[in-house]
Amino acid sequence: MNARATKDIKSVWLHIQEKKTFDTDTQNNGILPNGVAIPNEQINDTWYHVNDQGLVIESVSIMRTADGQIVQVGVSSNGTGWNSATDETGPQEQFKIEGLDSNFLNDLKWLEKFGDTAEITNVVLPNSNPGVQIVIATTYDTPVKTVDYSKVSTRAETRAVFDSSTGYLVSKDIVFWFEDGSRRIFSQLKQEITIEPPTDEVLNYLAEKDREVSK
Amino acid sequence: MKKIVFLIAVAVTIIAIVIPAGIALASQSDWYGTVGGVSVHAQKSVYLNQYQWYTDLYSGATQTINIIGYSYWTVGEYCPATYTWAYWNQYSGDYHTYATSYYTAANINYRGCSGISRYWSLGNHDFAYGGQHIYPYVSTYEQR
Repeated sequence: MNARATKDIKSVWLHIQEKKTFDTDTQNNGILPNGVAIPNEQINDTWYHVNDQGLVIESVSIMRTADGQIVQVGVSSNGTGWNSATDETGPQEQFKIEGLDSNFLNDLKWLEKFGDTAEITNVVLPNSNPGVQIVIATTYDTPVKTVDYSKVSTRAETRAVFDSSTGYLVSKDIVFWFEDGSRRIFSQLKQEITIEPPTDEVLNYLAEKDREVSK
Repeated sequence: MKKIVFLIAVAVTIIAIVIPAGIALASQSDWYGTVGGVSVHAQKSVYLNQYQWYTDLYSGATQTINIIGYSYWTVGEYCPATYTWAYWNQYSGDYHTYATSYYTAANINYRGCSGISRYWSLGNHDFAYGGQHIYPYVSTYEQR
């Protein structure tokens, strides 16, 4: 799927929009140094400028709240990066996009370590394209306590849906079960990928980053 | 020899008591020094599991000292491909008085990045003895 998703991505601007929802006992995913919370409901618009060798040479990633307020912006170009919330600047190497699967390939690698199995089902997507759903289920040998829940988790499941024609990840959910039999959908991700020119906002952030780095 | 025994005792204590089953050591960073003439050790570690990352902070001394702990501790999931943070939690500091060690840990579910994630544990430890007060900085990360 990853090979299919990335094979034609050359000399283009790639726009990935991720809508993420976290359900935990905490109000957010932490408070950034500028006092802004990383929200449980967030929309991440990431723009990658990919050159003719498939390398990302510029990127702008904007995290917003569900009502459109900007949380943080990460920008990279010309070998340096800048984060608006931490005001960090530093080196940023060009890299190749290996997959558009929200790191699901890494989730699969853990299967081998833990001896879990993946269940694969053919599905039809809302846009009528053929899709495939992959479900990884794990029952813990020892119940797990995390900072995210007051309850102890006994089982976890990852459900990922891919568009078979493009190879793109469409959605990814992670569910935890607890000792009392209840369950929570820890994270829900919906992803849309388009190839389109950058917006004025994106170009403005690239210029702002250059000003911040040259300070 | 005293230092070696001290280090072995630290390692055995940490491994035996706190690390959840099935988690392998991923990354660790250490600092050694002295405060008021007493040997001290500051350490941070990051471990990865299938759905969680586990990080701990340890401050140790070869004998009882006045203050032992940390002044701040930041744990965060960083997305290198987008230069953004998916998770950020800064603990404001804690310590024990007249003790030989301090330990704390956090087990956190992965938030996930578009691309690889880098799991950071960083911040200043806190040691005081014999009229001297030091705050050594130690950081480590692992990525998946």
